[in-house]
This record gives sequence, C-alpha cells and structure tokens, in this order.
Amino acid sequence: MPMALLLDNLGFFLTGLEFTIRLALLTLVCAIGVSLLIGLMSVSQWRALRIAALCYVEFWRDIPLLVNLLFIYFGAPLVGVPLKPFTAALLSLTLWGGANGAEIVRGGINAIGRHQFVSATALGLKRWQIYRYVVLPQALMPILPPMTGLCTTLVQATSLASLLGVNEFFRIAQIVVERTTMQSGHSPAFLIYGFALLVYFAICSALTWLSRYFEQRLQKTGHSAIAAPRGFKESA
Amino acid sequence: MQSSQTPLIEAQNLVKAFGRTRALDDVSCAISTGERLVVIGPSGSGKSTLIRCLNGLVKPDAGKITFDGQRVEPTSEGHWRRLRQRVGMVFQDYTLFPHLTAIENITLAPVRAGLMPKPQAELAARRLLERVQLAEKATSYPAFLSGGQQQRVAIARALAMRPQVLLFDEPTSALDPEMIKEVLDLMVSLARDGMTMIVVTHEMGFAHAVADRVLFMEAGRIVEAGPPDQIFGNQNDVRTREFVRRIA
Amino acid sequence: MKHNFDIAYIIASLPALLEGLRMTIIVSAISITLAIAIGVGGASVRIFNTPVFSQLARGYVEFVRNTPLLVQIFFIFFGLPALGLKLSVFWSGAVALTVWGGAYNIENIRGGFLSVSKGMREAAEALGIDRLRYLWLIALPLGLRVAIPSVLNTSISVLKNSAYLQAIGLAELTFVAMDKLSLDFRTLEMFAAIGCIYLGLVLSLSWAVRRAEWVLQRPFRTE
Repeated sequence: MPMALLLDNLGFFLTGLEFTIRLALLTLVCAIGVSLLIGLMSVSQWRALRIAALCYVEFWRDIPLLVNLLFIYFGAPLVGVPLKPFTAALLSLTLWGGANGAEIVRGGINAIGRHQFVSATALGLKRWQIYRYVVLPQALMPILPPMTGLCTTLVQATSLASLLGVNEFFRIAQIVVERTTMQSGHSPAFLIYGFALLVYFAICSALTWLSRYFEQRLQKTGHSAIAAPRGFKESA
Repeated sequence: MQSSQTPLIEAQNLVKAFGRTRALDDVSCAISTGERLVVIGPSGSGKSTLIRCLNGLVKPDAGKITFDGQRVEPTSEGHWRRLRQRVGMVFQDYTLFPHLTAIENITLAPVRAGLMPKPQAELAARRLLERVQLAEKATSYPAFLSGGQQQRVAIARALAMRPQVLLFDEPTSALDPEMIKEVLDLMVSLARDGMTMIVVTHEMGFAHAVADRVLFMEAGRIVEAGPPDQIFGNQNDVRTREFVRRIA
Repeated sequence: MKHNFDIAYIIASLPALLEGLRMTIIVSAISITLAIAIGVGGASVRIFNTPVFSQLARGYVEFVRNTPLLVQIFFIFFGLPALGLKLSVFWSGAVALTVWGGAYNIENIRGGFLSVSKGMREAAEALGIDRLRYLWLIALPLGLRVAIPSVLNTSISVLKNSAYLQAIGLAELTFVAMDKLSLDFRTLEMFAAIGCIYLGLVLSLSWAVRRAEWVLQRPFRTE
C-alpha cells in the first residue's frame, strides 16, 4: 500500500525533481563562476580587491543560509526589485555558494607553492599567463574534493527553496504528506520523507562518484605535486 | 676566454633589507658577455638575494642596475618581464611544472611569450633535450624523473628562451650526491660553449675549473673578488682564507 | 515605499530576539556536545575497524552527508512518530542537529587520527602499549590537535544550521524574527538585527577557534 502512494504521485514527484535539477544546475554554474571570480580577487596584487573579496566572503558565509535566503526574498522588494521565489533562491544560493567556493579556490591557489609562481616569473611569463598555464591547472587538484563537497551541499540546499514556495522536489514531498494526512487521517511522513532522503542520497552520491573519477584522471597526469627536494632551504 | 669590454649587467651599490637584516649592504658587481662569474660564501651572505636582483625577482631598496647599458627602473615589473627573456634562471629546487611533461615545460614560455610558434618551439625543445641528454624523456612528467634529470630539464627550460646570460642559484645543493656530477658536467659544457653565467654554488671544484672570476660574499658584502687562483690559493683577505679552508 | 530605519524598534524587539537567541544557543550547545561525542566514538570505531560498527559508522556518515539537513529535520519530527517516537520540537531539532554534526565530526576526528602517522602506532606497539592506552595517551591528544579546527568549524555550522529549526516551529532566533516580521513588516530592521547577531556570534567563535589553534600549536612552534 505504501508503494501505491509513491506510484500514484510519481508524475508529481518527477516535476518536482525537474525543478530541483534545474535550480541545482543553474546554482552550480553561477556559484562556481562567482567562486572563481572572488577567489582570484582574494589573491590579487591589488589590496582593494583583496579586501573586497574578504568582506564578501565573511559576510555571506557567517550568516546562516536560511537567513540569507529569507533576507533576499523579503528584502529585495524593498529596494524595488521584487523577486520570484525561484530567482530569490537562485540568487541566495549563488551568493552563499560563491562565498564558500571562493575560500576553496583561494586555498587551492595558495596550496601551490610560491616557488611555482617565482619559477614561472623567472621565465618572463605575464601574471595572467602564470595563473592560466601554471597555477590554476595545478590548483585543480586541491580544489576538486572540497568543491565537490560544496556542490553536493548546494544541491541539498535547493530543498530550502521549498520554504519560499518553489515547487521543487522537497516541496512536492511536503504537499503529498499534507494532502494524504488530510485525506486519510494518518501521516505518510515516514515513508515520503524517507523516500525523499533516498532520492537526494542517490543524486549526491552520483555527483561524488563523478568527481572521484575526475580526481583519478587528474592524478594520472602529473597533477599531484612533485615531492619537495630534500634539504632545500631558502638561503639569503 | 676573451670577454668584451662593456659589461652586460652592472649592479651598483645595491642595498636590500628583509626586516632588520641587511641581505645586501652596498654591493656592486658587473659581468661581461662570455664571462663566467661564481659567487661563494656562507649561508645568509646574500648570494641568492644578489642574483635575484639581477632578474628582478627581488627589487633592491637602493642602488642601480644596468642591463646592456640601459638603466632598469627597479619597480618597473613590465621592463623586468621583458628582460627576463634575456636572463635565464635555474633554481635550487628545479621547480618544474608538475602538470606538464618535460617538453611542455620547455616550450611553455617561448610559445606564450610569442617568441616562436609551437611546432618550431617543439623542435627547438627536442634539440635542447638532446643537448642535456634527456631526449628519451620528452613526454615524461617531472614526478617520474630523478632530481638530476629534473634539474637538467630545468636548465633546458631556461635555455629555451635563448638568454644572453644564465643565473644559477645553488643548482646542485638539493641533489643526491650521485646526481650532482651530471648537472655540473652539463654546466661545464655550457660554459665551454661560451654561455655567460653567474653561478652561486658550494661546489669549489666546479668554481675552480670554470670560473673567470670568483666573488666571496659574507654578511651582505663582497669581501673579495678575483680570479679563482687568487680566491682559492692566494687570498687577500683573512676571511676569504678561512672560508676556503673550511670548505676544502 | 519609503522606509526609515527605526532603531527604537530594534531596541524594543530585543527582549524577544534575545529569547530566541537563548533558544538558539541552548539547542546548539546540546547538539554540539553530543555531536562531538558521536564524532569521537564513530572515529575510534572506524580507525580500529571494529566489525559491524565500523561499517555502520561509514554508512551513517555517507547517508547524512549526502542528504539535506532540512529533509532530515522533517523526517525526524514528522516521520518518526510513525515508529512511535514522538519528540518535541526542541528535541527533534536537537536530535537532527546532533545526527548531522556527528556525521561530519566522525570524518573530522577520523582525519585527525589518520594524521597520526603509522610510525607512532608501531613505536607504541614495540613498547608494549596496548590498544586502548595507545588511543588514550597518544592517538587522542595528537589526533585531536589536528582535528580541533575542523570540529570547531562543524560546531559553528551547527549553530548556523539551528536556523533551519524555525521550519518546524522552534522559537529560535530566526523564528522570532520572522514572526515579528509577519506582524510589523519591519523587514530591514529585523534582518539587520539578526544579521548582526549571527555575524557577531560566528565572528567571535571563529576568533576563539583561531586562538585555540594558536595555543595548540605551541609545542610545534619554534619561536
């Protein structure tokens, strides 16, 4: 009988899933873009950019994501830009994801030792060339694992959009639970929310598996750092 | 070996402080085309700082640097960048780019600096790999090369830019003993081909064999300068004599 | 729509907000503490590869990390009653946060243990130190040192995530703010207030984390 409930609403769940996937993909693309931008700003040679990046990151990371979401949704009309729930969710997740991602990008770039940068400078390469051909390709290795973690978190965070009324997957689950409770008197929450957990689990596990595959591909080329030479010291 | 009269690089009265320590305390030196200059001295004497001033990696607090008769503005990063195409540098830790193969390491700078198109650069790179006797390792990643091999690739990488002068910062200090010889042999053969070089090293045998002039530095100053016979045999300064005796 | 920023309103709302803050801190503190306990227990079980428990711990961590906290909260509050486990809003929230934080802490502390090199374990074994004493005297102090920054970061996340509990009706800080907002429509003031409170909380806790890291590094620092 529980299966019947799931099957009856399957189409309904699928439309919700479609919403979730759409929101998730858009969020990931935008958040990764923002992460790269702010991450590069935070290692820039201009102090003003570094400070701007730092403020951005601290602000959006320290406030709970939910507060962030509600603030964007309820606050936007005040500056004259009323947002649809979907857009508010997208904007909020992008800002938050970008802040966390920027930290990951910054950490990855800093993990590439300064010697690489100095060595490339000595060859006469321009600053942007050094980043493009030497630093960023190597930074992929330390960036990829935590970035994947962030991406799965962002996919999970799309469930927050349900609180704004966006008809993504979790909202559908809530609606099904409420409707069934009203109609039949007892709550299928255990089943439906359990089902929801399993669906998210499947999606995020697939994402993680995909990224591990790319990590291994990167390892095969020389992307993991060479061992530092023994006894190296910075002599004056 | 005859060297030309006008100096290729000339540094005058360089001063550089890191915090409270003076790494360079009024240092002047010059090198002419075709000359081989070796710099020796205890750690902390300022040797590395000095040669890093000569390609702009370190900007001196005071002093004048002239390249080919033209004064270099110490803060002009753009001018230094163009100059670095004429000044090659080899580091103690080789610092090859680990995500690129040996040949890609060598062709990166020439191609990106617009010196030559990729096919030509690859041809030149292969010739360089032959020169350093690593032709068969062209498509190997640095992680799979020994320290000595990596350093030789690093030298090839510096040569790829066709520099007028090569700077070496303790190129063999981080190598296992059995690999030091292969790198020194390469440097000797480069010197024999007429390459202008400034080498910071502890390898006295190499210095004695190759150098036209030796500088002995201590505590940020040049204590004594002269031909190897003088520095290693008939020192003017007691500090030089003590250092050489300690190293010998 | 002209909107003057009314500081007086914020001050008038402070008592209610502080009540919410109190709830936030209490539920977070309980969850953080229990989550650390789960972290130590789960990490030990994984490190020693205790049969059954190790796999259970692994599955638990994988499941919690790959599912949304909000859905977990709803599952615990709305779904568990079907099994006869009817928890109050407060305790559902505490359990959910504990379960979430515990999973991340297991990984944090496990990472700390793993960083204690194999050489230490062999040295201890050679000296005849048994497993439990090794754990207590060597692995734990060294491993926890490494793990503490990430454990504290997870704990700060637990604090931030307590805001999710407003969705099931717990009167923590965000709930109180949203509640007042729906009555008085003072959007800007409310968000400014809770924004500052959360920022202040997180920044001071992060500062405390950095101090703790600095102190812990004393045996390893050379100046």
